Amino acid sequence: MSLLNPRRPATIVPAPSPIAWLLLFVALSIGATLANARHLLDTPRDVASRVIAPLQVGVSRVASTASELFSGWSELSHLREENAALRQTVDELVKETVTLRAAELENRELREQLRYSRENAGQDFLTAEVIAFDSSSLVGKVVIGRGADAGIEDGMTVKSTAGLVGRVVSRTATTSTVLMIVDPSSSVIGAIQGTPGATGTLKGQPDGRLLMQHIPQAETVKVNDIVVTSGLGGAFPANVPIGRVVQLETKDVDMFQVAIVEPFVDFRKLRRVMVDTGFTPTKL
Amino acid sequence: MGTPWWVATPLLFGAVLLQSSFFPALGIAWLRPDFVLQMVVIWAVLRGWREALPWGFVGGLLLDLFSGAPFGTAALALVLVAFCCSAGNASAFRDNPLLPVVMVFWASVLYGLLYLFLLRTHEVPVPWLTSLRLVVVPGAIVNTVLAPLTFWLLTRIERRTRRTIAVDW
Repeated sequence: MSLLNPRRPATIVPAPSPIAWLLLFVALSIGATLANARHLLDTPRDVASRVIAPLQVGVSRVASTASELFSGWSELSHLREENAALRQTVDELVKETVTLRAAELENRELREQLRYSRENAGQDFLTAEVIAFDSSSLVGKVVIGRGADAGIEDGMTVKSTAGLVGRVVSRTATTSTVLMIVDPSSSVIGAIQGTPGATGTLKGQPDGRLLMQHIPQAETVKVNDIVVTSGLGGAFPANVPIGRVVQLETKDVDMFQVAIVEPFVDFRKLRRVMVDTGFTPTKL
Repeated sequence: MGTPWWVATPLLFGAVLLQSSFFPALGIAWLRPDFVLQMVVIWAVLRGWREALPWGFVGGLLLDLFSGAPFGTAALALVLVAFCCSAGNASAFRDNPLLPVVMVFWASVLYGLLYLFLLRTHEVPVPWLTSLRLVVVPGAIVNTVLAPLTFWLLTRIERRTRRTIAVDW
């Protein structure tokens, strides 16, 4: 009989050893990875996403409102509105300039390229709200509040009014995960606008900039040149603005030039995006 | 035995929502605290490995649910960090906030390194030095600055859920 409770018989529960406890949870974690790789967790994750997405939308909106209220304390409201309007105008002007330059380039370049652009001119967009950023700062992915139910498919191009954001890498019925171009695992083939041969591969960097590699030495690239998608490889449509060259590394001994590109999109303040449902990426 | 699941799970879930939806939407670029990591580390100091490992596992799975990284990555990294933080007799110093706060810094760095290593094992390209310089270490500093607040909250919960045995003489 127990000394603490005379009505209950004493039971001795052996304490697990720390190593056994650790091995158990390590095994469970690895098991979760393997189960997910075999798509055994697709349904539970889909259900969880349906339940969690409205919460994420709510929390995100509360934070956005709080952020706006906070900024309102330090600024006069009309100045803020004016600033926002001016920023929007600048965004639109940059977009317009880029579009005009793209149109000018298209007129000068090969007829096939022009025909290709015209064939893809009737693009359809679906706007979506960014409801969550990746829970790890080491991963450049965001979750948007539209999924398969809205017609979103894997590989679709995601843009903002400023330029290219990334592409859809996975989706549930109500949400989609977007791999942003600043993630180190992202790779986009870009071109310097106005210099058709100056193409290169843009890789994301943890500092939010892009590293444009493999630009042929023969091509002239300057700081402030605008980088757009080249359309090569078929993963992204052509002539989507990506960013501006801010630094150039050219060495005579190297075969290629390397450029640092500052993206047009401010990824840390991304609120709304547009999913290009009209462009079908090539599956290689 | 231990903290009831209905206390631990909502706490961890709230922490995940804060770090994935609330703080990014505030628009303050450098402010990306990892509350789940802070909670697991501090709980490891307060209650030891027996409770820290389930907290690490559940917190990690919730993080994985909100992440585009391979599922299970955060769970495995957090379980290992929880074990490291509860090794020894850290709970003897549980009333002193200095130890958990210092531990949060080093645990954040360890977690970042483990996470990057696990991403690499899934063949995800990892720029080690820039990730450490621009993400892991600044994140560890933010976590350390906010750790006293998390410690204050968790010590209150810890006191409420601490088991007291009534001895009937």
